[in-house]
Parts: sequence; C-alpha cells; structure tokens
Amino acid sequence: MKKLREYLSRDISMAILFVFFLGILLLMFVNFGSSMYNKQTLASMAFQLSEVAVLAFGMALCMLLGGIDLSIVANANLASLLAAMVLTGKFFDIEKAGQFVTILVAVIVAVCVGMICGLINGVIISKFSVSPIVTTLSTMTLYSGLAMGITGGNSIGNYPPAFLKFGTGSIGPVPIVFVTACIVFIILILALDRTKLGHEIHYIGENHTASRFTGINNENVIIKVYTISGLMAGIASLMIMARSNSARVGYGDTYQLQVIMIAVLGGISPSGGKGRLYGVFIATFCLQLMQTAFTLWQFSPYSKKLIWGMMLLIIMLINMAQARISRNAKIREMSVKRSAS
Amino acid sequence: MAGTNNIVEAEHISKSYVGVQALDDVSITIKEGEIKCLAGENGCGKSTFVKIIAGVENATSGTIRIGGKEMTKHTAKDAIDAGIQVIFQDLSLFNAMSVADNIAMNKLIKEGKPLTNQKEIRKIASDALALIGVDIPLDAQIQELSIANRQLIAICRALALDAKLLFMDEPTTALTKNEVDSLLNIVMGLKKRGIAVVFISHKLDEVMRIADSITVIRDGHKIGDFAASEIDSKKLAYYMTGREVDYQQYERKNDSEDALLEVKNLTKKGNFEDMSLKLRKGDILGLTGLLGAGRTELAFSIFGMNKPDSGEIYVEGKKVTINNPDDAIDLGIGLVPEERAIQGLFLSKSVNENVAAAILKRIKGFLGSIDSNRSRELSRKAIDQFRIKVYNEDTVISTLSGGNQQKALIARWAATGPKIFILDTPTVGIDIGSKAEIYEYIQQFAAEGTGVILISDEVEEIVANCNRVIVMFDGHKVKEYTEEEMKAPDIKEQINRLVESGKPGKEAAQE
Amino acid sequence: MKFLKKIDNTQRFLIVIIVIYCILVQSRNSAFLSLATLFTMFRSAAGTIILSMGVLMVMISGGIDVSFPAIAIFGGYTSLRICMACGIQSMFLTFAISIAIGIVLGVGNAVLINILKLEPFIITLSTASVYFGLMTILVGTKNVGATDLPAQFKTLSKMKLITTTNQYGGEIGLSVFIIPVAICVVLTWFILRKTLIGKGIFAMGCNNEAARRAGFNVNLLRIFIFGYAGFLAGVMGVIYIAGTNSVNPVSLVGTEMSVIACVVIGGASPTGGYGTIFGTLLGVILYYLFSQTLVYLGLSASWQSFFMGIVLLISLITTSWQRRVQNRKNFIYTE
Repeated sequence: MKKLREYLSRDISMAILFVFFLGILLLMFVNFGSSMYNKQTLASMAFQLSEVAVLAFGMALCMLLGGIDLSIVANANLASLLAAMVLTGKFFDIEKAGQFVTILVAVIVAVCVGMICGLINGVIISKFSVSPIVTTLSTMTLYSGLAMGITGGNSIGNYPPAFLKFGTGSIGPVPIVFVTACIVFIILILALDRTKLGHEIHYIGENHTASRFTGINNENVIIKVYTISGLMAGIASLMIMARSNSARVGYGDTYQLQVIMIAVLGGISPSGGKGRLYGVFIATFCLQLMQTAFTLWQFSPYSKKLIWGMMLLIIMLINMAQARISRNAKIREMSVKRSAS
Repeated sequence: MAGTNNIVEAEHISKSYVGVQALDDVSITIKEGEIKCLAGENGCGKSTFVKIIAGVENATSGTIRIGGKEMTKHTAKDAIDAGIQVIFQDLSLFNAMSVADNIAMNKLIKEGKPLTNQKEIRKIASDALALIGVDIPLDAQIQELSIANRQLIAICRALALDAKLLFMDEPTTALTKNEVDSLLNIVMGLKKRGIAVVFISHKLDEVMRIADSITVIRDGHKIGDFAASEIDSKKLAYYMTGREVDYQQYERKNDSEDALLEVKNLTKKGNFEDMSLKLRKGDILGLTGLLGAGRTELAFSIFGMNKPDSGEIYVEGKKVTINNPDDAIDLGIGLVPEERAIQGLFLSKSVNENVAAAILKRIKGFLGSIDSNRSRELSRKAIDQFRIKVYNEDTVISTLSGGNQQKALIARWAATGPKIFILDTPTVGIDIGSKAEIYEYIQQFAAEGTGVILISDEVEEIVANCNRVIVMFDGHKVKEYTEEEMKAPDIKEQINRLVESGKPGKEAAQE
Repeated sequence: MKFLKKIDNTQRFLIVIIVIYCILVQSRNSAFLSLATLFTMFRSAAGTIILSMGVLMVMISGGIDVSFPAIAIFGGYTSLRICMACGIQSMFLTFAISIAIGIVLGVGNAVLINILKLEPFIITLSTASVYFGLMTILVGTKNVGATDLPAQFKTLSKMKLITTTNQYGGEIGLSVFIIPVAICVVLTWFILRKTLIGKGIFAMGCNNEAARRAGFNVNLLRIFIFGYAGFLAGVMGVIYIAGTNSVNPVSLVGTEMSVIACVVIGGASPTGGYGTIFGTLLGVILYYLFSQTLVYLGLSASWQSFFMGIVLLISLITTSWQRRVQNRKNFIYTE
C-alpha cells in the first residue's frame, strides 16, 4: 500500500485516474447496487469493452509518438467489411473451402487490411511529412469511402456459427474477446517496456529531432507504429463482427471520440512522449462502467455524446491545471536549491 | 559620430525572477547614432536587459528614461512608440507572406487602421527598402529569400516604424563574409541618420569592430564600458568569463600514424566544397571558422545526416557510406550536437533514459529484451565518471544545470565507446567550472585512443584542446595547422586573423 | 494568361482535373454542360461553400475546426424551432437567431483553445459532441417535415433568381441562395485580403510567436476567427434547412470531413499561413462534380468519398513533399 502511494504521488495523472476509477465504482454501487455488479452485467461489459480497448491501444501508441490515428475506426470498418465478404462467400465458394479455411482466410484478410491501411498512414506521415492529423483525416475519408463504394452502404451479416463463437463465447465466465484484449494488452505492455522499438517510441514522442541525432530511425519507427495501430484496427474489426454478426459502413462512429478520450484519460499526453498503457486499460474500464450506467439510466445516444465531449474537455482542463501546479512546484524547488547553493 | 542626446538612460536596473537575480544594478546609456555592443556569455543577463528596455518585461527596480522621459513600467507598445525596436535572432518574420506585408506589418499594427490598402503597404515597404538602398522584389515570399536578405527585411520593418534605437540579437551568426560587410555598411548608414544600433553578441567579431563602445555584462552585473579600440579578444574573454583563460595545451602522446577517419574531397553543394581531413588515434582536431562556414554541415555528413554529393569517407582504412546516424554509430562515430535542448536532450526524461538512448541495441538481455538494470548500472557509472551532479539517475534532466546536462550528453556517447567522437561547440552556455571539466574529459578520450573532432568558434578553446586545427571559410578549407605550427607562441592571433580575415580558400592558403 | 500566372500550382492542377473530368462526363452525357446542371449543383453546394469559408479562415490561422456542422445544425434547428413555437415569419430574425447561436458557440471554441493551449482539433472534436448533445437535450431531435416548415423557409427554398429549362423540359432556377453565399464569400475575401485582422490571421498561421511579438493580440484574433466561423455556420444552418426543405437534426453531423477535404484540396496549408478563396471554391466544385456525376461514368455515388480521398492525398503529398525537401536542406526535420 505504501509502495502504491509512493508510486501514485510520483505520477499525478495516474493518481487522478485511480481516484476517478474508484469514485465511479462506488457511485455505481450506491446507485445500482447488485443490478450493476452481477455476473451478467459484468460479462456484457467485458464483451463491449474489449473492442474499444484494442482500438484505444492503437490510438495510444500513435499518441505516444506525438501523432494520432483518426482513421483507426474507418480502418476497422473497412477490414470488417472485407472479412465479412470472405465469410459470406463473396470471394470464393465457402461450401467448397470448408468452414475452417473460410474463417482462417477471413481473419487473415481482416488483419492484413488493417495493417496495410496502417502502413499507408505511416508511409505518408514519415516519408512525405504530412502531419498525422491531416493524413489520418484524409485516409479516414479514403478508407470509409472505399468501404462505402464496395458495399453501397449495405450491411453484410450472417457468418458461420464457428466464427461467432469468437465474439459470443466464453472461457469459463470470461468472454473470449476479453481474453484476447488482455493478451494484446500484455504483449503491448511488454513491447513498450522491454523492446528497442518501445523505448524508441518514447524517445521520438519526447523529442523527434534529438532521437534522430541519437541514431534512432524515426521514419521506420513511425511506419511500424502506425502499422501496429492498423493491426489493432484489424483485431478490433474481428471482435466487432463476431459480436454483432454484421458489418456495415459507419459502425462504431462514436468510437472515434471515445477512443481518443480513453487515451487522454489514461494519461497519454496529446502532445506526445508521455503516458502508460495500463492507464489506458483502466480508462477503458472507467468508460465502460459509465457506458453501462448510461444504459441503465436510459440515456439517449445524444446525451451520451454530450457527456463524452464534456468529459474530454474536463480531463484536459484537469491535466492543464495539474501541469501548471507541478511546473510551479518545480520552479519553487529549483529556486530553493539555487538560494541554498 | 555619436550625437550628444541620450536615447536611453537606464539607471540601476535590477531584475529578479523567482529566486534568481538576473540583473543587478546595471546602468547603461545609449546615445543617438551610437553603435554599441552588449557582450556577455549566454545567460549573463544581456537579453533580460533588452527585454526590459523593449518593455517585454519590467525591471524590479531602477529607472529608465527613453528620450528624456521617465518610463519605468512601460509596455512593449510604449517602447515601440518611443522608437525602440528589437530584431530577435530568429527574426520573427512571416515566411509564407510577401516582403511588402512583412515590412509594413508592424507599422500597420501600430497605426491600427482596421482596413489595409495594398498600395499603401507597398509604399511603406519600398520606402523602407530605399532607406537602406537595397532592392528586393516586394512580392517575393520570405521563404524564397536568403538569410541575409531576411535580416535586411527585419531591419526595414523596424525602419518603417521610425526606429531610433535598434537592438540586433547575434545578427551575423548565419551570414557569409560579404553579407556581413553589406550589413555593416547599412548599419553605418543608419548611424549617419542618427539611429542608434545595439548589437548583442557573445564573441568578438567584425560587428564589434565598427562599434563605438562595448559594454560587458557578467552574471547580471555590468563589468564596464570600453571603447572598441581598447579591447581585444583575450581581454574580452577575460571580462566576460571573469577568469584568465589559460589552459594547458593538449599534446598527443599516441604514435600510431594510421588514419581512424579519412575524408577525401567531400563536397556538398551549398554547404562545403572539396573538404579533406585525416584523424588519427589520439588526435583532437579543431574545426573552426565563422558560423555558416560549413563546419556543422561537414560534421553532419560524417554522421550520416547530410548526404554528400561527391567525395569519400574512410573509417580505419575501409571505404564507407554512411546513410544515417545508426550507420555512423555502428562504425563507432559519436556526435554531440550544437543545439543541446533541441538536438540532444529528451528534456522531460530522466538522466538514465537520456544516457541510455544511444545504446538500446547493446543493453539487450533475456530473449533480446531491454535490460533496464544494465542501463541503470551504466548510468550510475556515468554519473560517477563524469561527476554529474544529481540526486540519482531517475532525476528529470531538465532540472539540471546546462553544464550537467552537457556532461550527461557526453556520457551518452561515451557509453557507445566511440572511436571517432565529434563535439559541436560543446561549451556554449556552460559555466566555467563545467567547461574545464569538459575539456578534461575530451582530452581523456583522446589520451585513451579516441579520435576527437572539436568544432568551436572560441579560438581559446581550440588552441587549448587541439593538437591540429582546420580553419574553414565559406565552405572551403582555408588552412590546416600541423602539430608543429600549433606550438607557435602567437598561434591564437594567427588563427584569429585567419578566421576573421575571410579571404576565400586558395588565396589565403597561398599566403 | 495573366490569370494563369496569378494562380498557384495547386489551382492550376485542380483546373486541369476539373476540365478533364468535365470533358469525360460530357462525352458520356451530352446534357451535362448546361446552365441547368450548374444551377442544380450550386443549390446543393451552397451550404458547403459557406462552411468552407470558415474552415479556410481557421486553417489559415493554423488550426483545424471540426465542430462547425454541430454549430450549424444547432443554430439552424434552434432557430427553426423558435420560429415555429413563436410563429415568427421574419427572414431576418430567423437568420439572426441562428447566427447569434453560431457566434456564441464559435467563441466558446476559441476561449477553450486559449485556455487549454492544446491542438484546436482535439478541442473542437470535444465541443462538437458537447454542442450537438446540448442541442438534442435543449431543443430535441424531432424531425420537421416540409409541410410544417414556417413560411420564410419555404420562400427561401423556392425562390429563384433566373430560370432555365433542363433536358427534360423541367424548369430549373438559380436559387436565391446565391445572395447569402456571395455575401459570405465576398466578406471572407474582404476580411482576409483587405483588413488588418486578415493580415493578423495569415501572420498567426505563419508564426504565432512572431505575430504576438509584432503586436497582435493572438487570443483576441482567435476569438474573432472562430466567432466568424460560427457566424458562417449559423448562416449555413438556415440555408441547409431551406435547401433540404425539411430537417432531420442528426443528418448534418459527420459532414465536417468533406468540407475540410475541399479546403485542403484547394491548396490551403494544414499547418497554417497559406490558403486562397479561389482554390477553396475549386475544391468545392470538384467535390460536387464527383458527388453528382459519378453515375454518368458508371459508378455509384457511394464512390464519391473514395475519389475525394485520393485527390486529397495526392494534393497533400505533393505540397508536403516540396516543403520537406526544402526543410531537409536546412536540417529541419518534420518526419
């Protein structure tokens, strides 16, 4: 406990997040009691949370780098549509190929499409120096435009039951998608903490000129990170498909704002370099708790939108105030040191 | 000649920030038509003084009279109205806008007329350009102009506002000799019109030679006013640093004649031309010349950041192509860049993370994962070895002093065990104590067999630390001093003369 | 010829694309090049033109705004509901209410950016949700059909200045929308090119710090810029409702990207400091060409954003690449 306190006092935004999380937990309990904390609600939360979490990881990685991936939802959409076309036999005869091969091909298609879209983002940003916001806004138009063009806006559904298991099945009480999200989370945490790439991401986000002078190949790292972000979109697309048994242009449009908000709430600075992935995971839980509460309260989707927007603003306000306080503290500390010496 | 009317009389100016005394009882008078030089090391308070006069900040105590009128707590607008203009080192121009817009902008703002008139804008601009007698197309965008012409645009912008006093912050740093000459001519022209010009500078250069007087500031105190004729570079260094700079000259002890690094006829259009150099074990090769002479650009080429057009680079006898810094590091080349805060430091990261940044490849442990214990161990060792004053290796580097930050950067490269170590002006803005320590480390590296290239515009520093020196001018090698020549008693004067004489490549080499 | 010299490369590129595309479409459908097509296209583009002027100004100042559709629908829909509730029939009041709301919300954006000192994008992204959510709570989300629209909307919707006949003999007219659109375009041009504020907007986009040093009050300028963008959104809100002749208040949100695309394709620099009204108009023309004529080329209209995305990326890549090469020479790295 003492160690935890020490740790939290070092990382104030983590501390705020932690308090916030406990606060919501408590509030929900007071408000809903067991109607909130029963097995069913928890399981359904775990289902919904997984896809948002995976998308948020992708967004967080890009933001750590000082960038942003606004195309991530459009990317997931495109990937799920193409995979859906495979699953429903638009490309080859699924009867002949058999269920296993079809699903395998669909998974490969989703993952590859996601990664290629991410790769395109990375190349445009790193090799042509277009700013990440504008690049990914444009590719967002491009990817959703492509999805729209292919489907004409129609949804594609009815997948093989074995595939739906991935979205609806559980291992014991734990949904498979949630397990997947956790595995992705652990791999990413290890990668950020323990690999050269992970360290390089932090260096570039902090100061991309200095990183270049330190022998880090910025351009390669940027391409890799956006490709990973695309991979996250691919994984999320499979979760979305398997859970909802359909794919449609525009699915998950509200995720855009949520995902950015989760990253910011999780302590990832919008200007890059700072933040930790487990903050993002905790933030995803916070958001899902609220989401569930909104459903229990029967909020309209529009009022949810209002609350999400307000929250993002408030989080940024808190972060700003906190940065100002800690800066002042630093100045005071330094002046004390100076006058002492 | 300087007039008798004082434009600015600043008396007993003191300024303190939270716990830091930036200026302490400084009195400076600036006369009409005077050319003054405000000299001092980085962080000595000279820019604070300018900010106070320009009304950007207010003095804690003291009185300021501008044009005889007392205005102690004046704003930037008051200062501008009184005819005071500052040309910042970054020039503060609008790159995507036209020359005319840039020149007229400040005048338009001052007049505050809500509507603008293109004819009027062009007239303001052409009048100002005519004042200094240069011809630059009014419709050109600033980003299409050379740095020298941008400087002139900034001057014109000030003149358009009827400036009586012009502060220029390090105006010649990026200019070639010819450009400096024409700038100085223009400044002399301004002087004839009764406009006073104050240069802010940290070294003795041609600017100081046309100055009527030089005021030296050190650690927030005024050291004194001197006539330009009574001061030379050695005296100035003494006044600026407060110390007789007399370091032991470095002597190479290694007797290996094999070249660690050899550069043959390296050319990069617009940067440098036909550069050759040879670096042996234990050499400290000085690379000096005015800023913009091509020193940094050459170093970047060796470090893989500036692809040369032609020429060859050999490392330990093998011909190499260095495409990026990563290649350079693999070949054993390290570079401490010039702009510490921008190109070197990860300011909000810890000392540990800063020191380990260049050796991520080498601290892999189990399954190729990064071993944070090893990086910590290494950082602790570096903190000891380079006497970096910190609480522990987790201290955030931005809280360190400039000298300690620089030592951490040197430690970063020392950790890679470089065979060839390039340091680009490593002691700018660093206190005297750390400076001496850094010299000690540089010489130690060389004594252990590293080949060092030291880029600097402080001749003192070059002479004290280098056993060989190359003087560059306008992208060419002007002269290479051998170990024998370096032992000449008047070596400082020789190099100083050569750096400033500015005779293009071959002529000067033949002399 | 003099005209060709005056415009920049992007605009030349766009003109070439537009001409080639028009020839292509004309070869498939001989009725394409006609006044009737022009009038129809203008009617649907009117709202986008107005919004694009606001986006252009924001972008020149170095920011990106994505909240304007939310502001437009907030202004337009609220104004409509107030008019319905109070029986207001005045065209002037209708616009006035919408514009007032637009300005307030736009200024809100600027104030938040000034306080938080963060990327305008992320702030307007949040306010877009906040504004829209606020509207649904305060005003509701009820659809209003053509028959229920107050008289002034109907007039605005139907009034035509000149009429011509299309290939089927139907009567097509130049909508009265041309008046507000022209006013907005000319006003934007006037502000950007003829006023001190305009100089300040360009200056701010080039170099925010230098603009501040030169004596501009950058925060105040930002309030003006976003306020003006809000003003335009307010005008657009009313026109949008009149144009569709009914309103589903959730329909406009999500169109921000197409307007931003028009402006960027038109050559405005996403990093600020540069942009032209003529280029932006060309961008809008291209957008509506794609949206209304892809059918003639045998493609469904759903491919429109795909093609826009491609043109957008090509224009971004070419302009950025030139700047990158220039920067690299000076050892400025922008990734």
